[in-house]
Amino acid sequence: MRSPAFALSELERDALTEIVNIGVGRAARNLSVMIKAPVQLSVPRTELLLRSEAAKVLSGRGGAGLVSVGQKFQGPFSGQALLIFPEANSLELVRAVLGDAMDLNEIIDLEQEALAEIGNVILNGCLVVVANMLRRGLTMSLPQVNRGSGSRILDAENGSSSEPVLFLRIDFKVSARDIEGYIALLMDLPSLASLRELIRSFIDNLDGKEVEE
Amino acid sequence: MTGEMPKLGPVAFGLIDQLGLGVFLLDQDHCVLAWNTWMAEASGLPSEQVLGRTLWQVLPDLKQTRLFGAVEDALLTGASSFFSHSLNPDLLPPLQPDGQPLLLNVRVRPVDTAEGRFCLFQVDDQTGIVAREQLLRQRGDARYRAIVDTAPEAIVTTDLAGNIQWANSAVRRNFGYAPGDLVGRDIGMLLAPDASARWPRGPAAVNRKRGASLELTGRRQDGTLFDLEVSVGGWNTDRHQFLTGILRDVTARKRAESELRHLNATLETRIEERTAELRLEAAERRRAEEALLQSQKMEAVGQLTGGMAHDFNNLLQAIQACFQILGRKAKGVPDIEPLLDAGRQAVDRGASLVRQLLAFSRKQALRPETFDVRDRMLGMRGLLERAVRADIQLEIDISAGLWPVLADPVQFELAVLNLVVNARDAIASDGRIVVAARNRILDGFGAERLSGAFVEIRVTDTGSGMGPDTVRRAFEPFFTTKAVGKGTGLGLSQVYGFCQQSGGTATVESSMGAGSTVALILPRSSEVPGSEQTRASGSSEGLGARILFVEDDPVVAPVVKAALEEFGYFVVWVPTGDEALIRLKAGERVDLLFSDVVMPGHLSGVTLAREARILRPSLPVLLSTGYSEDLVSLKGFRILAKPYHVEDLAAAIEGELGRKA
Repeated sequence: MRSPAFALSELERDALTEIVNIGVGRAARNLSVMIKAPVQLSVPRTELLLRSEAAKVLSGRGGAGLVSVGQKFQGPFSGQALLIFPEANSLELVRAVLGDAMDLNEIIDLEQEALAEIGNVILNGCLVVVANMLRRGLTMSLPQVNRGSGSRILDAENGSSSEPVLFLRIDFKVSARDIEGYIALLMDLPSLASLRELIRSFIDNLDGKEVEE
Repeated sequence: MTGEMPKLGPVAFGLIDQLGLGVFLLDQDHCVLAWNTWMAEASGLPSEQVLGRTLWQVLPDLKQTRLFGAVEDALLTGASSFFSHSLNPDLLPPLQPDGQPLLLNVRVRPVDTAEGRFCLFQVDDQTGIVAREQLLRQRGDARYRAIVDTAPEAIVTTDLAGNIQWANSAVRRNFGYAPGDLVGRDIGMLLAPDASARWPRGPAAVNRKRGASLELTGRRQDGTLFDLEVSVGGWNTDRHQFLTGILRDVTARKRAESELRHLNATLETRIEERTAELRLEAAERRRAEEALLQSQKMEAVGQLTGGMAHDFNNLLQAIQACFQILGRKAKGVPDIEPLLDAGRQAVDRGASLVRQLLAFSRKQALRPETFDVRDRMLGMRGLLERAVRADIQLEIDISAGLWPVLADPVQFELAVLNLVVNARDAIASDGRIVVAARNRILDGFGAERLSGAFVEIRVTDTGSGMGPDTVRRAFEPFFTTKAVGKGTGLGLSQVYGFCQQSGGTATVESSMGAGSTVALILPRSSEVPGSEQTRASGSSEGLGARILFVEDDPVVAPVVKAALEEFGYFVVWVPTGDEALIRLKAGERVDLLFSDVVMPGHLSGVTLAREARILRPSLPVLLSTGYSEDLVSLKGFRILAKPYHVEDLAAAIEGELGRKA
């Protein structure tokens, strides 16, 4: 954590992780249904990073190109939800959803739209759960497909690169298809205060229920 | 078209009717608030049937799809959703007039207004775009498919990570996999582990040099490994980069190459072996040739040796006899004895020198010198006469004024001897050999195009002659018409070689049954030949017993005759046995017959002696010979071995006469 001002307490962080975990769980179920194969998830990791640092984390292993499906969300807290995987997995992911009978050229033709829809199903699954649990509405944009490095995907190549962001990352893996990637949530700092409030009330709500019981 | 939705305003509703895409709007209760003209026409459902009802009442099947959740998420949470035609081919009911489903992309999103949140649907028709893309692709693919589907080689496309994206049907035959089994898997499954690492991967692989082929080890589904030759090229689509490889099974070619290599390797070995054999054979043949040449030389030298020994012994005999006579005549002349002794010693040394020369002559190289053919011919006459048989007449016919020639005299004599021996062998019985010599001026003669002054020596016989084939090959080395063991076949080739080497040539003329003529053509020498020794001649007195002396040697005969006459005998000399026999038959007075054993003509000394015994049994007979081999047949006659001292001869004559007396 860079600064105490941005800090979430351990309890708050655990609560956020739990909320995102539930959302991603639903997203993974959606993906699993689409590709007819089990999807493994890691526990979400929460970090406070500069946008440029987050981009480095995404580029991660090797400098290979990445493909992302991103959706922006706005509301009490704002940010970006991303489904990210190595470019090499892209066609395989589309093939997994469309079926193996498809010709390579057809796959290439349909790839962009298919990726958009796949990302949309996964990210909506996650974001809707998070929004519902925090009892706040969010406006979520239509999905957009991007290719390139981590900094390009995170739009971190301009002046915004030094902005701090709350970075949540969940690794996913489809063993049967040799596909792996991340689901990432980036929240802008101005949102952090209201997010904290929402988390606190979520915790209070849980406590209250517990008390009631 | 519009229900009671004054809040959106008439302008907005008018606008959405003009759009070339489907638009409709749901309220919080999922009731349709707007349904534009495109939707009405495409679905066949006019707005009157739709407006005010929930979407699920209008299209009940839709409630079972993800659309329902999307509407809820949009209205309750604010989430937007996207449905592509590729993943949702039958999302909306069949809307095309021909019953085919339209290919539609559907976007669902919340619209927040002052009146609350609504759910907006946007429906894009992709049918035309997709159809055009497919048509273009099919057109482009047709030729490509014709190639890759009929190719015997496996053709595989991977992405830059090595994931197989496509494979042609030949992978089944080459690797045992169905093309569909390979898609999505790593190329490594088709390769041996070490080969997998060599498959080009990563962005650099796209730019790899075209045409460069890789030799990799392939792996079939059953695990067997085989040799592959792989050509890989990179290509791009708008978003992706791929590598397409042609994987050629080169097992057969490799095996053929390896067999060829093996064959080549063993071929070289075999060639080396054979070369060594041939080298051995060549060396063996060379040795055989040398041995043959040597034996030919030995044969010629052997023939010469006897004759020469005889000739030289005769010469030495004559000289010794001369000294004998001189000694007797010069008795009392002061200081004569030491001179005579010196002369006699010189004769002895001469004899030993001759022996050395004989041995030495076998190794003689060609030593051309100017010599007189006449002198040489006459000098070797005796030798030639001994070489021919008694039933053959030898004539020597030498033109006057013969030029000297430049050649090796020893080789010359050998050549003439060879020719005479050949001529002798060609004559079955009773014949004649003519050795003739004459001057010739030539202008472009023969194959050698000889021009200038030459001396031609012709040896002509009356023998069996040769056919054209034999004539053509007469000078070839080893060619012989003689029986095995009788000749080396080198005689005429020696003659030819000698003449050629001397700057002349040799020719042969013959026909079957008409005899042969071989001519030696030797260049004239510009020098004057060294003069021969003048021959000594003795004198006679004619006293005492009358001796019939038969001696063919023109040198020996006069000297011995003179020596005998010194002793007081009356000597009648004849050169042949025939002549002696004629005289005996004619009743000529003879007290003693003294004859050489080896003589030309019909009668040898032995025959003459026997005939004489028959004619005159009381006639004393004394024989002399330089040879020792035939002594057995001379039984009953007194033999005097050459060279003999004149005193010994006189003693033997006296002994024979005394025995008779």
